[in-house]
Parts: sequence; C-alpha cells; structure tokens
Amino acid sequence: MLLSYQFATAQSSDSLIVLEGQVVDAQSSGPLSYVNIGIANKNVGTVSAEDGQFRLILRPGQANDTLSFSFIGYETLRIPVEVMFALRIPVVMHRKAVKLQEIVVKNHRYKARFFGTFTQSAIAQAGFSENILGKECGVMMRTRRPTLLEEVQINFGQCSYDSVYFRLNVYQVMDKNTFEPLLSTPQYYAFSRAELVQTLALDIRSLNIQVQGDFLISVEYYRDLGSGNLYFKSALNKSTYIRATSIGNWKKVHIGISLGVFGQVEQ
Amino acid sequence: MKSNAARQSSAIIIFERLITYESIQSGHHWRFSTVGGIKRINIDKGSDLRHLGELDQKLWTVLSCPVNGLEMDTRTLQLIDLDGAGKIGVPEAAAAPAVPFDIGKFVGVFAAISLALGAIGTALAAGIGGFLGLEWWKMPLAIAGLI
Repeated sequence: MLLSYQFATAQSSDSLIVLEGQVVDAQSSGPLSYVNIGIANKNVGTVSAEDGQFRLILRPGQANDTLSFSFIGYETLRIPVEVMFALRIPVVMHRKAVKLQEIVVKNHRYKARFFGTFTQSAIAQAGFSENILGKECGVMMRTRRPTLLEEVQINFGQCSYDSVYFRLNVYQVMDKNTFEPLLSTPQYYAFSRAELVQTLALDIRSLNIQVQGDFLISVEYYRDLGSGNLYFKSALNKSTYIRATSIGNWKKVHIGISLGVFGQVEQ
Repeated sequence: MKSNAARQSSAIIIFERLITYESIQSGHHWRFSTVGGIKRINIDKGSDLRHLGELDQKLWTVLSCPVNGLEMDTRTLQLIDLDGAGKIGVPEAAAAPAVPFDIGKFVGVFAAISLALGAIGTALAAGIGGFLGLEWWKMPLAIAGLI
C-alpha cells in the first residue's frame, strides 16, 4: 500500500492541525477507500473517502502523537504527526501477507447456535447521536468450543435515511483492550430503508470465520450518513460496545443492540 | 384501542448519553469550598484521594510541581515522582494514592494535590491551603509525616 500525503494545509489560524492527503494502493496505484485513520486510543480519526482522500483535524496538543492507518488486508502503518509534516513524501507500505488457515478435517458433529442479541421489539431502540464515518458499535459474544460463523442478523429500528452503508467487522477479543480483526477482506453492505424493516440476514459462510472464546461483531459506518436518525432495536438487559472512531477506545454501554450471529458449534 | 402512533412509540437511547450517565454513576461525589473567592475541591477523605484520577484535569490549576526547592520533604516528593523527571505531574499525583498506604507518602501526596488544586498561585501557599483543608484530626497525622 502506498500512502501519499498531500500536505496542502498545515496549521490553520486557530492552531488546529489540518492533515489532508490521499491513500492509494501500491499495486494498482488506485485510491484506497475507507482506510481507518486516526490516533490510537484517543477517539480521533476519520476514514478515507471513496477516492482515497482524507482530511483530519488535530488539536495542537496532538502534534506529538502518532497516526495509525489501518485497513483490512494491509499492514498497519504508524507515522508520527510531526514526521508526516517533516517528510512530505509518499510512504510506501507492503500488502500484508495472508497466512492461509490450516485446514483440519475433523470427525466432529456440529450444532447450530445463535450468539449475541436478538429482539424484534421496537420498544427500546439505541444508536449514535450522529451517524458519521468511523462510528462503530457491536456485540460481544462468547463460545467455548470452536465455532464457524454462518449468518449475522441485525434488526434496525427507526431510520430516516434513504440508504444505509456500513462495514461489518469481526474481532477476536484477546484481552480487554486488544481486539484482533478476523476478516481478511473488508465487507461492505448497503441497504435501502425498505430493506431495513425486516431482520437483515448477512450470509458470511464464504468468509470462513472460525472463533473460540470472546469475539465481537460490529457495524461500522464508513460513510457519513448525514443528519438523521438510525437506531437499532435493542434489549435493555444486554450490552453494546461502541467507539467514536475506528481506532478509538471501545466503551461498553448497558443496552444491547439487536445484533447476533448463527454459528455451527463443534460438539 | 390504542392508535398506531401510540403502539409504535419507542424509547430512543443514545449511546453517548449512556456513557455520560455511566460516568456520573461511577463518579465520585466531590465537595467544593470557596477560598478567597475561588472554588476549590476539598480533599478531606480517603475516597477523595482514590478518585483523584477521575477528576477532570480542567479543575487542576497547577499541572506539575518540582520535586526540589519546595518546603516539603524532598524524599517524599521523589517517591511520588514515578518517572524520575524531577517534577510531579497530575497522573503521578493521581496514581500515588493507589499504592499501599504509607504515611510519609500520604502527606506528600496530599501536599502535591494541594499544589495542583490550589488556585492561589504559589506552591507554598497551596501547600498551606491544603493543610488547612484537612479535618482537625488529620492535622497531627500530616505534621508527623512532614517531620
């Protein structure tokens, strides 16, 4: 992956740091869309647009921080903000080598099970105050035995948008603060408002995702949806993990959005 | 019979407000005093020290103090200076109460907090202000620690 920074702007008059640039793929030299860009654990970030362009506004105190560029299938790039200013040259990164999963033939039986939260009740609905790019919410689940994920189910509630765009993410939870992405390719979805009326069923069998232990499935907005409302049908006795930017900190809130997954659990 | 509108009514919950609510729920109840016309937080209970790290840093008027040159036990201040930088910052002052209780350190921490929270402007004045902010029964304890 080649990251080309076009530092058209530096510090504005009010001392905010404005970084603008474009992210492009090294092999195709084409723009790389929807790359997560931000300062780790500080809830500061953005997502590159379809043409790979990004714009990030930092506070003066963040001049000594390090920007992370993260995208499924690519090596994560970390560059200090001050270095980006100083170099002003393209930064070349290599595509992440994909390690093929070991194939194990087992003589096990499998049992279908649903993980996560499911409710079709619209009495309680939850969502972000703003549905802007990088916002992400998901549900933590746990399986003791190896489980192959098959179908994600989401129940949206009120929606004032004509169309909704999101990226589906699956993480293996290593510890409280370490969530390892399990997908090797980004999964983008777009639905019209009419489609959201029913339970969304996303077939993920082809992704061949196997989990064990704690895992988290999330919905991330990779586009600004504009002003409006988008809520999930929710259960009051469950919880949701949310973060304001794709590289920010996860926070747990005590209402569970209707998001879950069917999986085949090894017996 | 209920109307359609009534049947479709929902409770809309915004994630961000839930976080704020959680913060309030788990947050510590701070007590304030007005000293010289300036609002100050009272540090008069052990729980105040324990929750110091949660205090919004906007409320800290002094964000660091030197280890040397103050009218306080230098050794105590050095103990709080975890990174050995020669000065005590807010994170160090806030982290200090988490370690096992140590009378000398307690006094030092208290002095550092007083420095940080003091709005009078000088370290000495802030230290005195902190001392005066103690409950009467804690004053001998503080003096013993200083000696």
